[in-house]
Amino acid sequence: MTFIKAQTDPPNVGDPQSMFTVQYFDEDGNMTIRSGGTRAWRCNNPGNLHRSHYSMSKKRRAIGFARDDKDEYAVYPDKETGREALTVMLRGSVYSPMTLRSALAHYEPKKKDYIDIVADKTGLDPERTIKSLNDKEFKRFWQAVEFVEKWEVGREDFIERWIIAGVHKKRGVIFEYCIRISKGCIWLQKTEAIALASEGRLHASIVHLKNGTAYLRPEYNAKPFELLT
Amino acid sequence: MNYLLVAAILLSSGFRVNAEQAQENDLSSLKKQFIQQISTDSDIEEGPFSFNYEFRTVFFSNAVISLFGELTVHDRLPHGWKQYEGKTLYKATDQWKEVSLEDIFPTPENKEFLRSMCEKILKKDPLSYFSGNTPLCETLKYEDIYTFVVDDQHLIIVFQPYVVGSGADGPFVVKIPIDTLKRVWADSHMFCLQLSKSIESRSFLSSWDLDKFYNDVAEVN
Repeated sequence: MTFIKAQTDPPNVGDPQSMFTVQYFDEDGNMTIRSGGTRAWRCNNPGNLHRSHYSMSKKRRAIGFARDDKDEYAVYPDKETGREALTVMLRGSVYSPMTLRSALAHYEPKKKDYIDIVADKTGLDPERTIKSLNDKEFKRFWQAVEFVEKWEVGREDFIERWIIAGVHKKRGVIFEYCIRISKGCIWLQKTEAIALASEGRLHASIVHLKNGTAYLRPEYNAKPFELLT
Repeated sequence: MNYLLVAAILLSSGFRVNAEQAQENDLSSLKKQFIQQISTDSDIEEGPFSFNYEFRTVFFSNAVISLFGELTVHDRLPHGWKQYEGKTLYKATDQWKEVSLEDIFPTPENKEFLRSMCEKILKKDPLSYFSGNTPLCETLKYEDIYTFVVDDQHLIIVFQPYVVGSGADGPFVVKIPIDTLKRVWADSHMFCLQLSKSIESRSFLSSWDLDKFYNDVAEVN
């Protein structure tokens, strides 16, 4: 499953704003909601990179951003892409000429013992520059950064976006929709189907008429609904 | 009434803070520091940059005011930095005084109670540095407990970013019921007396949770 888009969803009842949930959408329109866990996990962003010119650039392949009332964080399709954003940043023009000590003071100025934890976990000399690290040493370095940023898995809920497999018509007007779900098919009245579509749970577009009524039609470029008898 | 304005007036009317705190909390200095950072050390790729400060009442009565401040600065990648601020004032002989944890937890036994209680609660939080397969921290230092506010039910300890958990997941807070503390803290301290009096009078506005705060106000009205 490849996620192509992500956005913030409100926190679960009773949770603070900072515990916002994140909605991920795959190519079929199915939704996965991540809640709980650390923000790094919810955003697939192990370095906790803010939304910025760098973190949201095409090369970094962010699929959206998530926010509470104060901060905005980049959201990546998976952990590997998020990790790549972190490591490319650390190897980039801002960080690579710095010593590990000054790099971590720049990374998080308020955590004075960041370098002590990283030095302790990696055994690297804090006075070495990032660009002097070989690949193995650099891996130990970013793994230690990820450790401090903390990656804790929370809860994932999968919400399938259903397909309209067929319709019933009466005097040329659709009144029932056959919805294909994982365990077979169910028939829904028109109003129920419209309600589902408005929640983004159906592959269909809602058309609102001037007289206040609404109907469903296939998504752009999709086949017409099949009339079942 | 605009409580943020009240807070601003209180600050400008000069309650006492020590010199180090004053420098750390001096917004003008922090703003200058921000401008200097982005103009000298920050890269175009790290922007856009921002500096936000919020200061609001958590508890407001005639005799006790507790305020929570949050400074959020984005002046670099990956995530800038944050700082939390708690200021709790009580009225003593017509003057507002700021209370510190040292005032209400003066003895080593008091301090150890507070430390161990915070540590116990943090160990249950799966997002803190005290949990997980390889916890980053095993013992909470008392020196890390200094930012706090009160509401009508709790003493709320707020930990600075990256002290007990990742900065992105904060603020990490420990709420200790005031009823529990009555047997532990310096009950005869003027702040404790004033807080009890304010809570008993039921003439106060209180909430740590801002959404709940507005709901409560609406219900009362």
